[in-house]
Amino acid sequence: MNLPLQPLTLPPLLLAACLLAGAALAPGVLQADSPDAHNWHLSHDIGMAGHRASSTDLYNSDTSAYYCRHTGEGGTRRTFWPIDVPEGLALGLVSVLGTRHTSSPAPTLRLYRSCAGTAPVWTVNLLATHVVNDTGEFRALIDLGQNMVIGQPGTCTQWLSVQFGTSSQSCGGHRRFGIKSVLAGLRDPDQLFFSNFRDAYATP
Amino acid sequence: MARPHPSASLTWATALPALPALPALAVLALLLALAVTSAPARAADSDVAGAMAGMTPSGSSGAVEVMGFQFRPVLHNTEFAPFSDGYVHCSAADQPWFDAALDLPDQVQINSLVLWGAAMGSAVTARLYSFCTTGATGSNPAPVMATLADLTSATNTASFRIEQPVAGNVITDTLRCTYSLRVNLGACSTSQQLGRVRVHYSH
Repeated sequence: MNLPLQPLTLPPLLLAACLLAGAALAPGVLQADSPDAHNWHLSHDIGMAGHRASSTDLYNSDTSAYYCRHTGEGGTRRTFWPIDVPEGLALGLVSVLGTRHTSSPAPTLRLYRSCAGTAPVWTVNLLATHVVNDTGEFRALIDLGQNMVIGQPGTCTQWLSVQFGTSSQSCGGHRRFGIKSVLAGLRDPDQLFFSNFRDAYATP
Repeated sequence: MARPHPSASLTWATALPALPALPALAVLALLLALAVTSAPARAADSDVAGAMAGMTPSGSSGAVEVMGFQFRPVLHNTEFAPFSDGYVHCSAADQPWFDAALDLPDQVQINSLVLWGAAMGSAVTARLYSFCTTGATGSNPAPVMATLADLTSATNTASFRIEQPVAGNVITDTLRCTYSLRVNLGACSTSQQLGRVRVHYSH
């Protein structure tokens, strides 16, 4: 049997095999450096997806952000962003991007969970509170740590509440005080290793 | 002496001039490897997206819930305000309607509709609608609206939870249909409240 090119084709084939093996390993290496490492799943919401608590709350939008528009008294200054946690996943992080002028009051972020069963009255639990003292473009992180919330969409629901100061405070003028995005970090609660992404987000 | 076949005398050393061809082979192999190895990753991403959209594995059940604050007034000038803990109520007497979109998974059976709220003086009603282009005809067919469930509270109950099965084995079709809720508070006051609505489904 004549195999004239065998001496030449063997090394490239070996090289290709090595590349295949290397490429097979590459996703693991890449995942360790990516936000999706350790099975974190990210769920984004734009600022304008927020629901104002009252029709007396004044707002405006720009590039999908939700800006508090109060320059004087009025409004509840509360806006809600629902956070879905599907069955089989757990909520571990909420990262909020926003902007705050130096004259704007410090916003308070609160993360709630409400569960309803067969009773007419349901429970509401405050999971975390975070006051943003930074001014300018800010990122606020609510890290639930080991107190992650297991998704129970048939019973419970979660939301982020942002309080833009009190009703007597000015929000600081046009498009100076708002929320640009809300990101929820969800993960498989059965995974053993999950700290890298949290650390990455916890470090500014 | 028989002359050897030209290619048979080609050794690794004599083939060195042909090495420039190797990068092309390597790139080809790398592309092939990436295609092979990234395909499962994309499938996994798709699975995650499915889970995020509320899809359920076969044989399971689930629910989609909408809190009171997630409803939007039907009329733009409706005055609404929170009562507490996700409830909402209206204050203009003639504007008691609120709508919400329902993000149901595809190809699941809608089983029941549950409504929480408060009604002191007027009944609170909730309706589950579908808007489908299925069966619509013509060049610009309007979606066909159907009421899938309709429930009504008592007129004097400080806080209630009522549930009603959805008849007819309704299977969702998110390609052709959208699903929404409309709640009528009956009247606008702090004692007429919309709490939350939940839709149960099974696969």
